[in-house]
Amino acid sequence: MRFSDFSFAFPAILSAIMLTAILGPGGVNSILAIGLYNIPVFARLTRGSANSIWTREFVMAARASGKGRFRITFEHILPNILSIIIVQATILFAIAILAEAALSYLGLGTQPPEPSWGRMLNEAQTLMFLDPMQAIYPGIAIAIAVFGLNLLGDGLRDVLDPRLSRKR
Amino acid sequence: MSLLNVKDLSVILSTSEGPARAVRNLNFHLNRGETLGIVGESGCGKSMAALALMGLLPEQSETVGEIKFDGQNLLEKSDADMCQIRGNRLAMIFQEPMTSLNPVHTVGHQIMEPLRLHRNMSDNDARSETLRLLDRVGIPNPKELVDNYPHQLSGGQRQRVMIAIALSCQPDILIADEPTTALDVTIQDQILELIQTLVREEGMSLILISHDLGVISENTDNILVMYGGSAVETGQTAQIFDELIHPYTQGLFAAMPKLGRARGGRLVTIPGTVPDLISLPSGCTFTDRCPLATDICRNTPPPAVEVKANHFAACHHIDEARNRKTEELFS
Repeated sequence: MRFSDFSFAFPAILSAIMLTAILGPGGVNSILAIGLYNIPVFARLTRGSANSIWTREFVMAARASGKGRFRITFEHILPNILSIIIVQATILFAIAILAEAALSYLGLGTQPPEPSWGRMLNEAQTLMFLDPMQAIYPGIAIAIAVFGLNLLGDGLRDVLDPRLSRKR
Repeated sequence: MSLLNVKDLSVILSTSEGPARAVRNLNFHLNRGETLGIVGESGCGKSMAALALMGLLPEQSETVGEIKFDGQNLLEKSDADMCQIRGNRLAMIFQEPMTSLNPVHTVGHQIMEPLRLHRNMSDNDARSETLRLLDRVGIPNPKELVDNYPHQLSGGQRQRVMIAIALSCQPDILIADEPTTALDVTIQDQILELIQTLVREEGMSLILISHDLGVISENTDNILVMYGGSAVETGQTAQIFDELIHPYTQGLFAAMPKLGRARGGRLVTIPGTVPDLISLPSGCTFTDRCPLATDICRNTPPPAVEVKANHFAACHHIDEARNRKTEELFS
């Protein structure tokens, strides 16, 4: 948790730039950089919501029926926070796409010949006035992907939460 | 020998303001098939005593004394050993049926859990046993209900499910911590009757915790009255209801609203509030609220005196308390 506090002190994108600068640009390195800096977000979210579930009465009831900590964690805590984690994952997925686009735009992400929306935006920049669609298409692609992932998160939450789902 | 023997049980909770003695030198025993009622107002340590029996106290607490269950001291057991006992030989029903079931699992799943855990039943066996249990606790359509989620059930039904879970492994002792407080009166009666019947038919012992004297009087063989973490009066239910001795017990009875009393009259209360568990007086904990209190009460803890056979009261002024009418003491 101390480590996560440390990483929260720096903006994620700045840290990712720092890491790719150290490790060198490239697809794998940018995945690593973005991934590593998203871990604390999950750690904090999981810990926070798990702690609040641990204080609930049904956990006490589960302990009273003889379950150990490990079983309770997986059978009672995890299913209750899974929807929160999944929703957060889809949102962070969207943010990660944006981050990768930003890294590639700066030339730190995926290297040619592998394609990347961020680099396409970068390359279209010089042709902005000759052929604006070159920049608009990857832009639209990024927007749709991000928006779609957010919708997916909402949809998943509705399906996973028994209190919100209705028998259809 | 009794099934459960609690000797000098104390629970000390460490709080930010210092150690709080939630239970102090509690002694009681319970034979197989017997029912014991623990009465007292909120914060007197009833629930803490129950959680201590189950080994479910919060981590920032210390338990001293001895809890002999079937010849073994539960306080010396490791958590893994306690997991074998909890739900299997000691079972507990909680106050809030609304929140005691996990919202993400079906009711059937939650009843099957202890069966699989303690009795190693296969899925099929566990399911048919679950249906039998649901029928046993008076759920009218077990087959439909077994795959429902807790939010689809009413409060009474959920408490029945909780009872089914507690009952699933045929425990030796059932601890019911205010099982009906969160339910409305008509359902209360049904649930208590159900617990009574099941306890009798399965030959279990019951520890019923309540602040409701009516509930206790109808459902128990023995009573333990708790105040400020310690027992102030113990004895057979009939005996205690026959003659109340400790001023606190008398106060509890006087505070019960009675039918037929003149309208507009004030309800009787015990003056003052429960003592702060962090700074308990060195003598009798009831001193500040007791109409009979004198200097000796303030400084010396009262010994438990056997007033009649097996009827104990911890008070310095037993004779005086016996001779005064309850109405005189609290009016």
